[in-house]
Order: sequence, then structure tokens, then C-alpha cells
Amino acid sequence: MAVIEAVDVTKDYLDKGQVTTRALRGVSLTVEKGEFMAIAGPSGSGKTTLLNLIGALDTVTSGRIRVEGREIGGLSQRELSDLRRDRLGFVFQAYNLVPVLTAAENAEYVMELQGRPAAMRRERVAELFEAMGMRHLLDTRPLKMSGGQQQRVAVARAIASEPALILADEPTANLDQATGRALVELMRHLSRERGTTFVLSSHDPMVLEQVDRVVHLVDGAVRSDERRAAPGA
Amino acid sequence: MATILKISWRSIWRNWRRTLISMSAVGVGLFLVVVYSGVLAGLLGDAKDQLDNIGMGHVEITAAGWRTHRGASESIASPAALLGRLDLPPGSESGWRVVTRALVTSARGSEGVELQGVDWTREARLSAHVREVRLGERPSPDDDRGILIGEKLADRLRVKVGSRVRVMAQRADGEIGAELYRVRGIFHSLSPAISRGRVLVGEASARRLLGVGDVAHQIVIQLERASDADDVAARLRAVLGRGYEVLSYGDLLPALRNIERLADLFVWIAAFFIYGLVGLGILNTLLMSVLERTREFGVLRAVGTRPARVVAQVLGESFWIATLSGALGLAAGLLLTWYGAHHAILTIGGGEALEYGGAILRSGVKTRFSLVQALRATSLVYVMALVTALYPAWRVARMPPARALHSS
Amino acid sequence: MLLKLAWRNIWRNERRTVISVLALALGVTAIVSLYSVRELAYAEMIRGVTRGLVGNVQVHGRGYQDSPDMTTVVRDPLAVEARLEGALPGARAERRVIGAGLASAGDVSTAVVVMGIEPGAGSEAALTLQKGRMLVASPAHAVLVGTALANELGLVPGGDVVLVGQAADGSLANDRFTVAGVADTGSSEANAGTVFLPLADAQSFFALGQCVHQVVVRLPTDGEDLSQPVSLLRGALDLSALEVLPWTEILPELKTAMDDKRKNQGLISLIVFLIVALGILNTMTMSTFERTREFGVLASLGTRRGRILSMVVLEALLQGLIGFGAGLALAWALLHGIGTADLSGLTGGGDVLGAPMPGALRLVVHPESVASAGVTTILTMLAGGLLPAIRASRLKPVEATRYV
Repeated sequence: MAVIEAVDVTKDYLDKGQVTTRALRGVSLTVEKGEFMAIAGPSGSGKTTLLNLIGALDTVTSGRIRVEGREIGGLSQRELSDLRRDRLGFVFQAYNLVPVLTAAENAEYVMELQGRPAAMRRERVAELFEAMGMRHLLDTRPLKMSGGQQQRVAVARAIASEPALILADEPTANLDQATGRALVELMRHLSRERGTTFVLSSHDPMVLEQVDRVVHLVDGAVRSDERRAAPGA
Repeated sequence: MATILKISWRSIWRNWRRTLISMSAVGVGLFLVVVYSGVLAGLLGDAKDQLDNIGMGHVEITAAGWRTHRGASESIASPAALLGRLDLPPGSESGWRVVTRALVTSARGSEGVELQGVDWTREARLSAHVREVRLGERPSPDDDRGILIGEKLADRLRVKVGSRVRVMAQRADGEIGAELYRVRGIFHSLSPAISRGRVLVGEASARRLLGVGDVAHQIVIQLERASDADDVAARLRAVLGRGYEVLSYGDLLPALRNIERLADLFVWIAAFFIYGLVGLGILNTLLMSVLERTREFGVLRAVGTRPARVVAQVLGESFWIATLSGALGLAAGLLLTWYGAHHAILTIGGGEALEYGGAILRSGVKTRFSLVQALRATSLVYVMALVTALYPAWRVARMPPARALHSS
Repeated sequence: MLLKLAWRNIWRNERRTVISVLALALGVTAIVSLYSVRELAYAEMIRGVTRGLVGNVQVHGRGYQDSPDMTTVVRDPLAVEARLEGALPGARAERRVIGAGLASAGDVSTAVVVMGIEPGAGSEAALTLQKGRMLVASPAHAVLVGTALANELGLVPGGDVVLVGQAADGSLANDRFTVAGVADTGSSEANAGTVFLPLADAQSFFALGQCVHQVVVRLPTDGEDLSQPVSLLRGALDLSALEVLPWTEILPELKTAMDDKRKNQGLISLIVFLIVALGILNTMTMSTFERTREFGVLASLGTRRGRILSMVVLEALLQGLIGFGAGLALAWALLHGIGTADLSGLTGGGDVLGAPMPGALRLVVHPESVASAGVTTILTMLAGGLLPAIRASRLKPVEATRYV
């Protein structure tokens, strides 16, 4: 069963209440379990829009999206919330973390929503931070961390709740080259290790080099869909 | 729940200046409401206590019809025996009076007064002005010619302790009777009307003046607890039947009853107004503080936080502000109320006391503390804080996460 | 230019401005309404007093106010009246006699104030006849009684009442009169205890000859400040034998109570000031904070600090203007909506401090209340807006690019 099935998806926006813009035109996409892929394109191509729709952050104008075989079109706000909580993870370009929580508390957040016991959450986060070489950041607040460190904590949070799919929207846009590369490497490592599906959106060539599959969007439509290596390899 | 409270607690300190200003507004509001209710409670309590100062009873018994038409025949026979038969609550003080309107004249003037013929010992327990006579002394029980008059009357008549006065009143047989008395004592009363218009003599002497036997016109009962008055009056009414009229102080002083009823209303109106102002004041703050973080809330929604939980977080912030400032405002309010209970912090009217529809309100108002009122005021703060937070919370929680994420 | 800028600036965040303005409007409404109702009630009470039995100014024998005495009299009242009307054209004077007595009818009696008044003059005009007819000069030998007194003694027009008292020479005064009518005096105290006689009858009852106790002066206008008429009158009369007093000295408790209540009104303005100012402080701080970069740009373009300060202060004052206007309109609507208020329920029908509690009071916006609310508004907006304005004016040009 595919993790994501998008069929003929269109999305229109009411721009500042006056003009309708068509951000996506009839996009279809299937993502299998364990894929480490990217959606690429220039700004305005609709890649963030597509990511938002897949991530149940927004609703389609027409077309269907299935997450793990489940139609998300008719779900209520609350059901969508729970879907995102349990099956999805997110890493945004910036401002991922809650400033008043420490790195550990931020990483524990989704698990806490899921109702996992405190001891278990703490243990899992400690393990993760150890594995990612961030143990010294456990009790640090976001304002005291560099951009790269903040992004890594965001990844930790996404992984910690054990989702089926992690969506990352331009995760390296605010980072320098070296830090960005390290971040993507980390994500790929996690994907291989745990079988978690990753869908990134980016226009950074460095990122696109490291993924297994790139779907190019131009003006809201799929221009090309290239695989570089088989999933899992 | 704990996490929500933790996050909301930490969040309010992100912009500590803004939070402190909001807290000041809320604290000031609560302080004002607490003090106001303390002042009103003080006024009211004072007025009820003053019954003792004017010798009024919490319950008074007269012959039916005497109040409106003071004929000689409308009197209570054998008052002592009647009183003995009544079952009064423990701690009550009681007495009876022979009452008539009379004219008091001296060499220098004359005044119309109400003359009361009393049992001195009982009356001293009922009336402060008889208990503590300012000049001279209370006539002794066998003093047939002694009279007690008020300060203002003494002034008007230009008499002092030891002077002679003549009292004229209508006797039971229709003739005008006159007797000579000697002023044994001059009393002071908070009520100018009493100071000017009441004189007291011994009951035997009054009866002789009026040519009546063992009768009285008023039976006065003061209870330990003013709140029992209506119940006791109802009970006595049932026991005594139609020949008598039994009234509680609420009936006798409708003004007082009005103050009682209205006092609560006034506090509600004041609270509504003050909290309304405060609420509008912090509404802007909360809105600002929440909307600034739209993107952040978007992220939380994205990772799976339910809208209700986002609402709870915003309400939590308002809860903490209410708690902190509530505690401060309450403490300040209670402090002032405690101070005000011993030193009058407000004056109404000039002079010593104010006459209001028959009740006496002391000019120097002392506050009275009521835990119930203070708690009620505080709980209203919470209500206000949470209601105010609902709009900002709802606004940010119902936004689709995608839109929230893209706001700057 | 500054005005236009300030105006447009406050509407950049509509909701914020609306909420701030609403808070101020609420406060202004409260101030104006309470102030107006209070002053209207006071004006009514004063009218009740000065058009009733007290009058605007009274002339007595010296020392009468402090110790009223049958023998402290005005010896030549007609001459006094003539001088009064000479000194104060437009004023009308009337003579009165006051004494104490016992009134009895049948087997019921009560203590009363016996008041001798000139039939047809102001004091009689203050009475509302309920039964029977008004007084006429002697030799009718007829009296008016208050409503509650009539009830108590069972008096009806045509009935008899016996009056007993002490005359000026110390002898017993004793006479029988017919009841001409029953009247409402407007004061519950007076209704229960006053018998009105024609002046000449009272003078002979108390053996006063031509003397009277009070010359009541009625002026065409009411008011609390009577210093001018009083000094004119004092100039015209012999103060070694007479005293001239405005009503504020005849009912001092009423006057002081009114003044005290007015001080307490200041409390309400203070509350509005405190709370609304704090709210404005918050919003103006936020609003100027958001525009830090902008102020930096203005500064780098050469704008003087004073100008930036003025602009921000103006923003606060403009909001104040709107809130003030809205609050005023709301108060007007509220008062006119209620129309007439009956305050007599507050005392259960009794008097307060010697004046009757006004019954039907027509509610309008009192001009002084507008001024009071206006002052409070200005102070509030200045208090809330000054600090943020100062901070904005101090921003340096470098803020234009630095701020993130």
C-alpha cells in the first residue's frame, strides 16, 4: 500500500480576497513506503502547496488524496489533527520550535499529545539526542541554539513520534551549505534506518543530489518524475 | 493538562512588560471591587447596628392601629405579662414603653416631642443614648419627677441639668394634662431627630401624666442576629393574633431594607462596569500576544495539536494572568478593607451621622470584610479573564494550519 | 499633515483601535450618566427646598438659626420687607411665625409645628391642596394640616382641631380652630407634623404682636451660590438685630452631603482613568513597537524628535476623541432611553437630610458632566500615550535596518 496517493489534485487560492490563483493543476503523485524523495521547482511552482495538501494542512479544491489508503478529503478538523499527530511528522524552514520549551520538551511534544507516559518520552528523547550527538542540548532553549541545531531538534521531534511519513518544507533554506548538507544526510540516515518515508520540498541542488527521487513541478503541474536509485538501497 | 499550564505559564513572561501592565489592570480592578463591596457592607452593617443607637427594635409590637392613629385606647394591656409569655430567641433584649406626643416647655421656649415612659434598666440595654448619658445621669427607678432630654432639645429650650420643664400631653380622658419635671440628665444621640425630639421619663410617671393604668404602647425587641428579625416577627404575629401589629425593622425602616436589597445590586453593577473596562483593556493585549504567534501555533497544529488544546493553551495564559494579578489585587483589597474596618476611609455627609429615611448612617464609613464577597469578586475575575481570552483563542485555533504557517 | 498621518495610523489595526475606543467609551458613558443623574437629582432637591418651605434666603432675629426661640424675632418685618425688595428687585418676601404646640382632635393628640404663613404667598403656594380649600386671612380662624397629620388625628375639612402652646410671654396659648383643608407639603416630615395658620392668627395665638420669626426671601433663580444676593441684603439691613442666611446655611447637612458626594464622583473618574490608561499604554506600546523600523526610517530622513512625539501623542488623543464622542452618544441614548427616573424609591418615600427625594426626574445630559468626562479622557489618553511616544521619538536612524 502506498503511503501517499494524490489523484488529479487542483488547488485554487483567493489572493488577498480578489484574484483567484491556480496553484496546482491536476497533479497526481504516488509515494511508496520508505522513499526518500524531493519535490522540486522554482518559487511559485506549487511545491509548498502540494506538501501542505499531502500533509493534511489544507484541503484540495478538486481531486483526492489518500494517506495510507485513507481518504482525507471528508475528515473533520479534529480527525485531521489526529492524523497529523499519529501518522505524520513536519520540519519547516524556520520557527519549528516552541521558544519557551527546552529542546527535550520540544522533542517530547508530539509524544505527549499521543498520551505516552513521561518516563518513556524522556527515555526515547534522550536516546535520540544521544544518537544525533545533541545530548548537551537537551535542556537548552531554542533562542540559545544555532539554526542548524534548531532544525536537528525539529527532526528529532518528527522522528520521536514514529510517524509513517515526514514532510520537510525547504528545511535547508536558512542554513549554510555545510550545515544543510549534514541535515539532509541525517534525514536520509534516519529514513534508511527506520524505514520512514521522507518527502522534502526544495530548490537547492545540494538537497536534490542527496534524494532518491525528484518530482519537478512547474507552474502547478508535474514536469518530470525521476528516480535515481531504488527505494531502500 | 500540566503541560498546558506549564507552557502557558512560561509564555506569559515572553513579553514581561506587557504582562505586567495587564496584570496591573486586572489587579486594580479586583482591588476596587473588593474595597467597594467592603464599603457597602460596612454602611449596611453600620445601619443595622445603629438600631441600638436609636432605640429601635429588630421587632416591635404595638396594638393594632396604634401606628396610624394614636388614640389612647390603642394600647397594650399588661405589657410585662405579655412579654413574659413570648418565647424569644436567646440573647434577645426587650422592653416596653408608654409613648405619647407631648409639648415640652421651658422658660425660654417650647418644642413638640415624643415622650417615652420606660423601665430604666431595660431601656439602658436597648438604647445607647440612655445607656451612656452624656451630662448628668439617668433618673433612678423611683424618681417620679426626673426627665432625660436630648442635647439639641436642651439647647433649644436653653435648659441644663437641674432645670425645670413642663410637659403637656393629652390624657386618656381627653383633657390636656401638664406636669413639672426636673432635668436629671442630657443625652447625646447620633440621630439629630432623637436628640431634638425625644424625652424619657419613668413609666410610672408617664402613666400618671396620661391617666392610664398598666399599659404600654410599644414592646421593643432587639435580637442577637438582625437576620432573624423577619422570622421572629412572623412567629410572634402568629402567636399574638389580630389585636396586635408586629413589625420587623425592615418594615419600620423601608429605606434600610432598600439599601440592603440595592447594596448587592450596586456591587454587581460596579463589578460589571469595572471588569468590563478591564476586560476590554486586556483583550487587546491578549489578541496581540496570540496573533504575534500565529505561525508558532500553526506549527503546533501541524504536528497534530487539536484546536481545543490550542484554545486551552491561550486560556491557560489568561488563567495565569488572572491568578497572579488576582492574588495581588485581592491582597491589596483585603489590606485596605482591614485597615478601613478600624479607621474610616470614606466620609459621607458632614457632621457625625446622616439620617436616611429614618435609618442612621455614620458619616465615617468603616468597611466590613466579607469572605463571601471577596471570593465572589475573585471568581468573577477568572470569568472575565477566560471570557476575554475566548475570542483570541478561537481566532487562532480555527485557522487552517496552512494559513497560520504562512503568516508573517 | 501630522493630523492626517496620525489618523491613518490609528486605523492600520482596526480591531485594536476599536477595542481601545470601546473601553474609553464605556468609561465616558459611566462618568456622564452618573454625574448627570446626580446633579439632576440635586437640582431637584434644591428646587424642592427653595421653592418649598425654606426659600432661597431667610432673614431672622439675630441668633435664631443657632437657637430658635419664640422670643428671638424680627421686630419690624414690614420695614424689612420693604428694604429687601428695594435692595433686590425681583425678589419677593413673605413673613412667617413658627412655634411648637400640641394639636388634638377627639381623644388623639400629637406634637406639631405651628406655622403662621401669609395666605397667597410663597409658602402657601408650595403646598398642594388635597382636600378642602386654602387659607384665607382672619377672621375665618381656619387652618391647613399636613396629609399624614390629618390621617393621624382623623381630621377632615370642616372638622375641629385644638391647639395648645406656650406664647411669647410665657403664658398658655390655647385655641380651637376649624380645618380649612388638607395639603401635601412635599416633605414627609412636614406632612406629619405641621399645622398652617394665617399669619395674623398665629401672631395673636403666640402673643407676638407684629413680630415674626422668619422673613423668607424668594428669588427668581435657584442655585447654590447666593453670595451676591446675600451680601446685598446684608448691606441693606441692620445686622446688629438681624441675620441673613442663604439656604445652604439653613440646611448645612444637605449642602455638605452634596459636596461630599461630588468628591466621591471623582473616584469614578479615577477608576476609569487608571484602568483605561493601562490598556492604552499596552496598545500604544505595541503599536509603536511594531513600527520601530518605520520610525527609524523617519528619523534617518531627518524628522525631528518632537514631531514624532507629537504624532504618537496625537494618535492617542484622536482615539480619545472618538471614544469620548461615542461614550457621550451612548450616555445620551441611555438617559433619553430611560426618559424619566423615579428616585423616591431609594428612601422608601422619606426625606434625606431635610430635602425630599425627587420623584419623577427627567434625565438629560448635564453639561458639567461632559466637561468632567472630557478632562478625564484627555488625562487618560496622555497618561497612556506619552511613554510610548517618548520611546518612539528616541529611536535612532540605525533602527531602520537593524531591527529584525
